Amino acid sequence: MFVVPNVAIDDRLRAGLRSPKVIGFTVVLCCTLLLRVGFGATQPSWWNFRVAPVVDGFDHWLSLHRGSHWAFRFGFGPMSSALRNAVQWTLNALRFLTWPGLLVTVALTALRVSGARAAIMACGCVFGIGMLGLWDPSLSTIALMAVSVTISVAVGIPVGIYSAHHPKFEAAIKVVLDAMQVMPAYCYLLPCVLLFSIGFAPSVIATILFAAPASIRLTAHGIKGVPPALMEVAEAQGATKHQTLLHVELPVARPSLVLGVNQTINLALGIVVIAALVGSGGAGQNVLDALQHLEVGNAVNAGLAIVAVAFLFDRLSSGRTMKGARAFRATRTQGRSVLEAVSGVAVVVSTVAIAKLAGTTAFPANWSHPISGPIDEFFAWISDNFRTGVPIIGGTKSFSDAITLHVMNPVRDLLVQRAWWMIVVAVVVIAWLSAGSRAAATCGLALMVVAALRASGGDDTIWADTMNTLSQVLIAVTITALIAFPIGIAAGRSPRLFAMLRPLLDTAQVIPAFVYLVPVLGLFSTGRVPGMIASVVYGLPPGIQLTALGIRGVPAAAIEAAESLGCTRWQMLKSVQIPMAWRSILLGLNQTILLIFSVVVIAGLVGAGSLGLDVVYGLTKHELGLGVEAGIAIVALAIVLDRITQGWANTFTRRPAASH
Amino acid sequence: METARTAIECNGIWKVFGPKSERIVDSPDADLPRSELETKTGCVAAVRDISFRVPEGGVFVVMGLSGSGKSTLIRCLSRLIEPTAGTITIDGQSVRALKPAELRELRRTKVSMVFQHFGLLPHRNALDNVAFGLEIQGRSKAQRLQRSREVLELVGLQDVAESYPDELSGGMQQRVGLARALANDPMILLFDEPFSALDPLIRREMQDEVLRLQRELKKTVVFITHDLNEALKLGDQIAIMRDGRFVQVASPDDLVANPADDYVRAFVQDVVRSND
Ligand SMILES: Nc1ncnc2c1ncn2[C@@H]1O[C@H](COP(=O)(O)OP(=O)(O)O)[C@@H](O)[C@H]1O
Ligand SMILES: [Mg+2]
Repeated sequence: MFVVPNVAIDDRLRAGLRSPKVIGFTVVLCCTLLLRVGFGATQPSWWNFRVAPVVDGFDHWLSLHRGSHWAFRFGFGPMSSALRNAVQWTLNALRFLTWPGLLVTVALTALRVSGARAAIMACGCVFGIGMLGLWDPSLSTIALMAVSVTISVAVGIPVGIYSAHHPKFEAAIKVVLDAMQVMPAYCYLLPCVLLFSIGFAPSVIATILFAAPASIRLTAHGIKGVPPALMEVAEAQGATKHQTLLHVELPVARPSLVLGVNQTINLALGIVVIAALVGSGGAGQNVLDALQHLEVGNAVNAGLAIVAVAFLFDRLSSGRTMKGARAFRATRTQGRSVLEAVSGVAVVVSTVAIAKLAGTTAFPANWSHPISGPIDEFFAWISDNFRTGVPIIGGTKSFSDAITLHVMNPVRDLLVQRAWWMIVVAVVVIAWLSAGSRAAATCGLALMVVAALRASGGDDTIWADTMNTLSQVLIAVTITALIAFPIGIAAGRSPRLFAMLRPLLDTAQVIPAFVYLVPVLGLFSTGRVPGMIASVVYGLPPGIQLTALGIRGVPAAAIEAAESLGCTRWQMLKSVQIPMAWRSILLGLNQTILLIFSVVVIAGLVGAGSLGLDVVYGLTKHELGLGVEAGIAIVALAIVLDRITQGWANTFTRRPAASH
Repeated sequence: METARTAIECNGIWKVFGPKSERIVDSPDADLPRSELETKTGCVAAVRDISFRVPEGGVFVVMGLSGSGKSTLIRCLSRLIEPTAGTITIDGQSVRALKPAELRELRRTKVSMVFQHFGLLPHRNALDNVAFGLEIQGRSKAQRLQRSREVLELVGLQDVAESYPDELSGGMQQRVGLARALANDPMILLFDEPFSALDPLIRREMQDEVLRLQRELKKTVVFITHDLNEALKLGDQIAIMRDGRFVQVASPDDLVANPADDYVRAFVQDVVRSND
């Protein structure tokens, strides 16, 4: 019963490999690769949107009218100061708590929300932050996070509930959310800087825009996932809509809601540290400064502080497992909860009082041991011993140079030196073959938009930078896929390996992308290679995890049926597991590509150049025209990559009509 | 029994799913066989022109193959599914004329339902699941818990009051479902294939339980099943449903002795044979 569809899928896959589409795909790819002649200009001369001058003009107008125009006096201005005050007050409150008070607060909150182990972890993180000597910058990051996440969740959950109940509204915002999902964090900062200038306000707004969609999505997903049978029970009992929401929908959707908050926090952290670019300060600023001055030790130190903040929030928001929650609730009576709350507050208050009397506020300086020194020594030792001249592998510099020369340059030149129309045609054909005509139209349009951008950053035009970025993404994706796919399959087939990898993979995904650049920079210095390696390292965990989950998602009944027919392990993999997991694997690839893309863009900071550098330049040197054009190109490229892979994955949902 | 007050009376209930379903009811299309109607209009006539009466304290059983419209019919009674046409009177009230708030009141106090899929809330323990309906009504916590304990005891589950649904066996879960329905002390209990998912032994036990409760508490019962033995055991009146219509409504003995047509005969054949 289960084998029949598998064979069908397998056949389709094999037939698919020999189909005209795939052959066409290969031909187009080969032609683009092999035709080394230019066939015309690299960019159309007749096609120019003049975005940069318009943006710069607008920016100039804003700088003159920010104080007087009504939209700023009554809209953006007050909003901006409200946000700034909210962050400042939160920061003051955190400082007022003193470090022992904060530690106790964190411990008790984690204990209440996520259990004892989480509380221990969270305390470790607080200590870690202090020990690294970054108490104050980290508090500032925490304050920024707290405000942004609170607003994101406060907006996200109601909107999510509303959209779960109103399909039309959901369809409308889905378009927006999908578009927002593919945009790397950088792109959110640009318009916010334009409207809110620099500081806390644009950071908070950008973070909300970036992170709230996770909350909206997962809330809506959870509410829509409530079994209709339970809704009917509530209706049959005479529950009002409000009661149904309160007693049935929200509790049943709780795991999804908690996950939404957790993801919102992770996304928020990713952008809050980058927001240092627009003057939000915090630990991100320390990383940024260190990266820009190539002080690897300091960068690692600050990076670890960010990781500690990330874990702190993750532990505080991960919630309990189903079993833990039940054990927790079983011991609960109303009196006990009140008692706990009161005594918790009492403990915090008395800790704060004692700390105040003892005169401590910030983490004691003589307890902190920044690890910049040893790290610098370590990387100096590495570069002394492993930079060049290591037998066989050559050394980090030789490796980096060789990759640049033999892999990255040829691929980049291939894309950069082609006539623009060849690239557009090739991408459109590839999109059409893999994802259908709508995707092809979208991709064509997106690239045409890029072709119409004219700002020139450093040495290159936006088009050239886009092709350069694309080449880096393609290489990183290929390497990631080659590593992640086999490991993911192995992990999917072996529960033990999966259980072993799982904590590692989960942990890796909590750390913001920004931080991955730091150790790679220590090893490989600046250039495109460290950026690419960082993006591979960042892309691997989700790549492995999603592949493994795809393989594990294959119904046990299908495996059993195949086994009963005497399949070998290899046959099982080839004919049952991979074909049935193919769609999830491709969706995993889609996610991985978008993550890699975001790191490649961020790597513009450490010498990967191209679009990322244009954005950084635009943000830090206040050349918003350039920044916005680069931002548009980034979004366009993200859309192209997303549409092609997602469309490809979705072609596998169309199952052959079941024969009754 | 015949002189008892009427608890439920239905006249000419129709339920047609699909676009412009109201127009189907009085049109000539209404008499088309189901599949023809669907190809012609895109509508599914799940319940067609059904009328019946249940006296207070009576047990009315509806039986039929899967897809014959039983679930749709029983949901029409408390308007969980809005009927397309017909009148429904429960305890003298015209159900279709009720405003939303009045309808909620009816469901809270007069009509309770037990589902095939149990429908227990996974995040509440047995006691709180039973108390759910009372909570919806806004009863005080003390009242709720006392009443729920009583009802749990009635169905023999006082010992597992603190257990969660996934810690209970199917039979126990359905007892909780039954207790939840009884907690509001309704006049009418609606059962939609409540025991289909249970093992035969447990099923028999549960049927006895329902009979016992019905005798003790004098509830009016509408019971859906596709199991003839269950129908014969529980029902005062049995309706055989096919393609949305009642083919025959009769007492258990009558049904076995005089099946109205081949469809009914096919149903009762087994019993006749097993009684030989
Ligand atoms: N919401 C709906 N929309 C369209 N058709 C429905 C809907 N619900 C039920 N039906 C159809 O109505 C018929 C009767 O369904 P149902 O009442 O569930 O039957 P039973 O409970 O006897 O198995 C079936 O053909 C089913 O496909
Ligand atoms: Mg049914």
